[in-house]
Amino acid sequence: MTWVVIGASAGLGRALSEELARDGRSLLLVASDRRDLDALAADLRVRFRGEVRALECDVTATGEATEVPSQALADAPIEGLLFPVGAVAEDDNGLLPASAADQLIRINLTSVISIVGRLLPRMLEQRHGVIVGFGSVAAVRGRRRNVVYSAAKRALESYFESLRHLCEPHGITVMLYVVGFMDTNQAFGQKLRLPRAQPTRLARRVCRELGRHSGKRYLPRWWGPISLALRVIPWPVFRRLRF
Amino acid sequence: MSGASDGRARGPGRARLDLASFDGGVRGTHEVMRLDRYRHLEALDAHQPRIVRGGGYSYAAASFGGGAVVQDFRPFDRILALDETTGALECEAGATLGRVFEVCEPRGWYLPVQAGYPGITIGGCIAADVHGKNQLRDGTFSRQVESLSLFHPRHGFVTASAQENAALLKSTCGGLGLTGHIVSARLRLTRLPGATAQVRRRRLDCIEDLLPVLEEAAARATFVYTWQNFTVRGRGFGRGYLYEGDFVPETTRTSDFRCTAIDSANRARYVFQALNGLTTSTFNLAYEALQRMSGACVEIGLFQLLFPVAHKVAYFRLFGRKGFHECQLLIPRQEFARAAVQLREYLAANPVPVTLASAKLFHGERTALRFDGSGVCLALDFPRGAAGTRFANWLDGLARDVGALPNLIKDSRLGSQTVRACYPEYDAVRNALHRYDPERLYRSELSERLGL
Repeated sequence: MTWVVIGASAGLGRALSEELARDGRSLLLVASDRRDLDALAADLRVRFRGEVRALECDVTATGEATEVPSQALADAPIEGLLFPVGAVAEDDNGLLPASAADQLIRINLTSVISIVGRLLPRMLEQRHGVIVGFGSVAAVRGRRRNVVYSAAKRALESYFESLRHLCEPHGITVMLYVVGFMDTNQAFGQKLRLPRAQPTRLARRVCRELGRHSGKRYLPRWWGPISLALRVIPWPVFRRLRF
Repeated sequence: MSGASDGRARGPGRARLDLASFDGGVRGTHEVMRLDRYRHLEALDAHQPRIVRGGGYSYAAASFGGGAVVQDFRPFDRILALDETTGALECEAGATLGRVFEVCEPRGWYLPVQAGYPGITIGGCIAADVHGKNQLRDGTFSRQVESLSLFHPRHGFVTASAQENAALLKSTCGGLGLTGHIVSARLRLTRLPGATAQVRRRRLDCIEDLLPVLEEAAARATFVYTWQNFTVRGRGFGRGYLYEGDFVPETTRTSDFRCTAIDSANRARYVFQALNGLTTSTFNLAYEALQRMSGACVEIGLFQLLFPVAHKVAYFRLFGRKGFHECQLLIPRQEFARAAVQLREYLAANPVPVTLASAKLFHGERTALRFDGSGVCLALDFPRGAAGTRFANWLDGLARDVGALPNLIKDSRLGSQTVRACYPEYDAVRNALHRYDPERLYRSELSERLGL
């Protein structure tokens, strides 16, 4: 039974890979640079003595690239699919050129949809498995910044909700975590109004909850009430907020 | 707001951050890049000066300054291979000593030469060529290094070992991070004889007692060091204790990996400098009394043995924001008695609260800018301030007078004149660096201060 981590080489993806390996799970790590993957896979093999495979695949590429994880798995049963994948762009202010916007949408949304689309039929057949996606608190309300990123993450929430409808009757749990500030390169050095969480801590919680429930959770939990408060702010007030 | 992502457009994190040397002597705001992917190594303009930063525990400003972009390499902390039959370990340079210990100790291997805090990185140990608990027997860190993988924008990725690019390997070990970016290292581990060590304590009545006792103990024990009281005046100056220890064979693991976190920023969290003339004497007397009351022979875990600083970080915080000086001198044995007399006389006439005085015996060869050679390594800590600075400057003169080596990585104010006078190979090192890297891309406050 294999756990597939898409976007495994850094940040939350790397932390999740470590936690899964610590639990003795067999892993297929997917990321775009072979050097990062080989180093991570070697580290997990030495430290946790588990079975870890690495697969170089740029999930933002169009067409057949998203078939690669499916081919790499061959006939191995899939225990779980985790998608800690995504990126933001500094100039994502509503005036992003079409190609850059496409790239952001691919990495944050369509890559996930494509890979799930390739592997889901096998999982439905297995009648067993876990799919975990990662949204963002940036998608709670539309803002002046991270325009395309937020739109893609909000679409991802909708996609995961639909996925729950499809998967739950077949014994597959589908979870979407809405993630707040994290201590990764994305937030490095930024002066933030709220604390940033350590990816290792978040990964520990995700792994603890794997397969237990379907639904949507905030990571860390305290982002739940904050998101609710943001959602109920009337537009005339919200448009004046600068964040 | 933004959430889950694998990077800001998958580039390295960038920010302007306040950085300080661990002793608090050098501070500044610098551009910092956090690298967490291999492609980030090549992300910076090839002509942009840079310097690599690991844990940031160097007392001198070796990982920032000099107009260089700081490349934070801590995410590169993976263990790449461990051969449990031969003890060959390959790891990335950002791997900490704590991580290496955690992986290797349960499998019966360890690094006998290492710095005393688990947060220090392997890359930092190589760049500073640190010494361990018994340099006389084990040498310095470079003795454990089999090969290195380095990146330099001018030379690309290069492997350096005894067989391939041997000169580069030599100049990188103890090269203060100036020969390029140490990406990974292959190290030779030593079989662990036991998981605990027996530490025996012996009284030293004065500084004159030190050398014969140290020589005798260092020849037989696995590790040897002293603690001495330099705030006592007169005959008892330098009295204290010698600690010698050996592994207890076949003992089972009792190691506690817990460690109190400290870094150069939170070391300076208190504004007030609590260690001064009055408190230091009291502190030293209390420590002596405590030692007298405790047993002459104790058994300690391996983690505590290798990382004595892990649970004593409060000591560094007591120096407050102002910080402290550490001067480490490698004094030729034949000159030690003369140096001791001069120290006694200086401190009698100019009291300085020496919070720590500790000695170890060294044997080796003086090469390049490495803190290596034969003699007595004497480390002195004292608070930063006018009296402290005068004392540190006086110690520079003492080093020249007795032919001692000052440790470049332990002293954030050491000048190029002193270093040039004490290290005969200074010019050769400087010229070699300029030949290898004419643009001098890897630089820091330390390298600029020393004129490298």
